[in-house]
Amino acid sequence: MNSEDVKSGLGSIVPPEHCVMSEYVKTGFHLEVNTTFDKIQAIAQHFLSKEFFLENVAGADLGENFQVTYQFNHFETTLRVLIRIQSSWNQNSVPSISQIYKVANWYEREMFDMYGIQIENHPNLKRLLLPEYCDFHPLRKGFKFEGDSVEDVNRSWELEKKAYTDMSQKELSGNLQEYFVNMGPQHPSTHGVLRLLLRMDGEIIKDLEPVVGYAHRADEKTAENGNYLQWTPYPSRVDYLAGMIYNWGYVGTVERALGITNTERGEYIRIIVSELQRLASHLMWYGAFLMDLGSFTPFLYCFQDREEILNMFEMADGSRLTYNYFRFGGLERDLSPEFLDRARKFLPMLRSHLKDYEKLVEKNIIFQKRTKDVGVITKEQAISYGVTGPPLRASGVNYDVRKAEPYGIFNEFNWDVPTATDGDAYARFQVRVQEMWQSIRILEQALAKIPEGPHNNPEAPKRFKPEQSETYFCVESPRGQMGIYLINDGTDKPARVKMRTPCYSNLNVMEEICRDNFLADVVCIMGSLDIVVPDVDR
Amino acid sequence: MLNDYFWVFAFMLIGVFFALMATIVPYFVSPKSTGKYRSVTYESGMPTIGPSWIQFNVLYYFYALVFLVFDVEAVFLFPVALAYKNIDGFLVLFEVVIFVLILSLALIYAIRKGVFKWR
Amino acid sequence: MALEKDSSKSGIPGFSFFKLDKLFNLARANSLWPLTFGLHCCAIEMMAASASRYDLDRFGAGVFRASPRQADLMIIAGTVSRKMAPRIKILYDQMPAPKYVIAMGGCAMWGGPFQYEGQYAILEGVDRIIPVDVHIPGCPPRPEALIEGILLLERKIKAGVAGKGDVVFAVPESGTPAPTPPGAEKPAGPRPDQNIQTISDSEKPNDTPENKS
Repeated sequence: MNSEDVKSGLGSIVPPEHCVMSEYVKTGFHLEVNTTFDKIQAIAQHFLSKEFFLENVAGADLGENFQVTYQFNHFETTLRVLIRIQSSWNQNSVPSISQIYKVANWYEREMFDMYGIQIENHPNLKRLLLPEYCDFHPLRKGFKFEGDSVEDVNRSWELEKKAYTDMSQKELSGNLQEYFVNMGPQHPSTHGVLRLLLRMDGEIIKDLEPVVGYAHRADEKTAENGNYLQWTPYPSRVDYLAGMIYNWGYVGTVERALGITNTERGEYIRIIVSELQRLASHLMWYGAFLMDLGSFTPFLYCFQDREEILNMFEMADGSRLTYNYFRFGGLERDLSPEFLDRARKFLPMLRSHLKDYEKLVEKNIIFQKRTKDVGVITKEQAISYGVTGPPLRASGVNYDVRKAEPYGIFNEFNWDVPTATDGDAYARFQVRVQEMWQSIRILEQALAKIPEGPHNNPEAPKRFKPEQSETYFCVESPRGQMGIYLINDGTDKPARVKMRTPCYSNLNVMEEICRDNFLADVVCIMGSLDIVVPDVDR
Repeated sequence: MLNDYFWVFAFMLIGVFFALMATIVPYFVSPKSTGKYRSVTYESGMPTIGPSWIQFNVLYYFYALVFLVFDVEAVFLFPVALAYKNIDGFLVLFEVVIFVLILSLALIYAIRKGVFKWR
Repeated sequence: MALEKDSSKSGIPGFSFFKLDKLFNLARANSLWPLTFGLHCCAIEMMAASASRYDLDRFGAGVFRASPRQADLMIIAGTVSRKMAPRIKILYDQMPAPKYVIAMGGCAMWGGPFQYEGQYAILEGVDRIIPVDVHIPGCPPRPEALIEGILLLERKIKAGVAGKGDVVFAVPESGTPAPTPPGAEKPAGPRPDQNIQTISDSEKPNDTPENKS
C-alpha cells in the first residue's frame, strides 16, 4: 500500500485535488489532505476499515481561524496521513470521532479544554487537564493567567464534594452493592499522580475511569514563550525516565524541519546514549513493577545497576535524571574516553545480572500466576486506542519506530524487534526484558564501531527563523512511539508544539481491559503498561 | 485457689492500666494538629463518593469467619504448649495433632467449597 | 490565606515536660516516617535515595508510609499542579502532629522551570499552602542533597524549631550567610511574609568538632 492507494481510496470522500503528496524527509508525512469538518467521520471510518490507527489529534490557534489536524498511520507499512481542517472561530463545532476511534475521546476533550473548541456528540465533554471550574482556555494565543492559584485550594473541596454527591446519586441510584473508590492521586505505587475512579462490586471492577490532569505543567504553552533552543530542557521533564530519548525527539523534529544534518560521531553518540537510557528506563520499570506485585528485592538490585548508568550520564551531561544534552546538529559536548571504558565494562556485568534476575523472577510461580492472562490487549483494541510500544508488540504486532521509520543510524546495526503473541501482562514483561537484551546488543556494536571526529555540526544554526511549515518526527521511547508535531510560522518562536506521548494512548486502553478484573489486577496491569503520568498530562 | 484468681485479677488490672495510660498521657503530652480537614476520611486526598454504609459482599464475611476460627485455634495451642511441657510421652503430641487435624478438616471443606475463590 | 503555624504546641497550654521534650525531639528526629508523595521527576531521586546506593534507612527515615495517618514527614517531590494543590492541603491536615514538610526540588520551592509570568498551570511553591521546614534546591536534587536536607531537618527538630513553618537558614560552618548570586538585584532570601530564624552554632548537636573538648 502506498500513498497513491490511499488517495484513490479516499476518492469517494475527498476530491483528489485536496490530497497533496508530501515529502516525507522534510515534513514526516506521506500524504496531506485538506478538507472540511463534515467529512471527517467518513474519513475516520474509511481509515478504520483499512486498519490505520489514530496517531495524534492536535488543535492550533491561527489567529482568525483554528486548525485541527488528525494523523493516521499504519502498523505494517509506514504511511502517515495528515488530515488538516481549518475553520473560523465563529463556527467552531467539530463532529466527534470518538465512536470510531476510542482514543479520540481524550484528544477531543483536551482540545475543548485547551482551546474551547466545542465537540458535537461527544459522550463525555468535560475538561481533561484543568480542574472543572476553570473558565479559561489556556492555549489560545496571547493568554495570560491573572488570578491567584491559592484560591483553588479553598473552593475546590466544596465544589468536588457537591459534584460527587450528585454523581453518586445519579450513577448508583439505589444499587446498594456497588460503590465508588478513588485509587487516588496519592497512592504508594510509584507511577505518579494518576487517579483512577473505580466503580466496584465487591472486589470486582465494573467501571474504571482514569482522571488525569494532576501532573499538568503547561509544557506546550512554555514552548510558545521562548525560541527553539530555549525549550530543549523541557521534553526531558515530560518523561523523566527517558530523558535522552525525548531530547532526541524534539531536536530531531527541528532538524527535520530545517534540514540540519549531524556528524557521524554525533550519530553514534546519540545511539549509545539513547540505548543506555532505554536500559535505565527498563531497569527502573522492572524494579517498580515487581515492587507493585509485592517483591522488594528486584527493586534494590535494579536500582544498583541503574545507578551505574546514571553515573555515566552524569559524566556525559552533568545531570543524573533530567538532561539537556542534545543540540540541533549534534550534542552539547563530546563523550570522554572514560565514559566509553565504563560502558564497555558495564555491559558484560549487566548481562550476568539479567541472567540472575531471570532466575529470580521469571521462573517464579507466584509471579507467573499473577501476570498470566491478566489484561489481554487485542489487535483491534490496539488500533482503536493507538497503543504503541511493548504493549503493542506483546499482542503480536511488529511495530517499532526504529525499524519502521529509522532515525539516526539504527538501520546500520544488527538487531531484532522482540514480539510475543499472548498480549497479557506476562507477555509485556517478556517483551521488555528481551528489549533490554537487544539494547545491549546494539550498544556493543556501537561501542565497537564509534569513530573519531567532531560531535556536532558546526554549521548548525542556534537561532533561526524557519519558514512556515508543519513537521512531525517520532522516536521509539521505552513506552511507545513519542512524536512531536511542530508548526512553524516564520518567527523565531514555535507556533505550536504538540507532543504525541505514548502513555496517553496506553492509559486509555486500561478502561477496557480492567473490566471484570480484581482490584489487585489493576495494579498489575498499570505496572505492566508502564505509565509515567507526566507523559500523559505534559 | 482464690489466691490464683487474685493473680488473674492483677493481670487484668495491669492490662487496663496500660491501655488507659496510652490513651490519657498523649492527651497531655503530645502536640495537637489543627486544620480544617483534619478528621476527613482518608481517600487519597479526594472527597469520598457515595455513602460508606453500603451492602458489603458476603464473601468478605466468609474470609473473616475462616480467619477467626483459625485464630482461636492458634490461641488454644499456646496454653497447650505451656501446660504439656513437663509431661513425658508421645500421647500429648498425639492429642494435639488430632486437635489440629480436626480443625484442618474444616479448612479443607472450605477450600473445596470454593470460599477462597471470588465469585 | 493563613498558614497553619506552630503545630508543635502541646495539648495543654503552658504545660510541657522540659527535659522530656528534648528526649521526645531526639526520638522524633531519628525515626522520621515519610509519606510517599512523589509527584514528578524528584520522586525518582527520592526513590533512588531510599534504594541500595544512597540508603535512607540508615538515618531512620526509610519507612515510607502510604497513609498520612501514619506518617510524620511529607516530602513534596515535584511540581504542584493546579489540580493537585487542594489534595496536598488535605493530606497535610490529615497527618497527625508533630509533622514536618520538606520541599524538594525547584518546583516545590518556587515553581522551578515551569514558572513564568502569566503561567496558569502550577502553584508557585508549596509553601503558599502549607508551612515548609526545609527547602532543597535542585532540578532534581541529587540523593545526597535529599539526605542533607533530612539531616538538616533532624537538626531543626533537635533544636526544637521544626514544624512551625519558619524559614531557617542553615548557617555554614564558617558562620557567614550564603552570598548574593551575581547579577541579582536583591540578596537571596525569604519572601516578606516568612519569618526567619537561624540555628546558631550553640544549637548544633553536641558532637560537632568545635564542641568537643
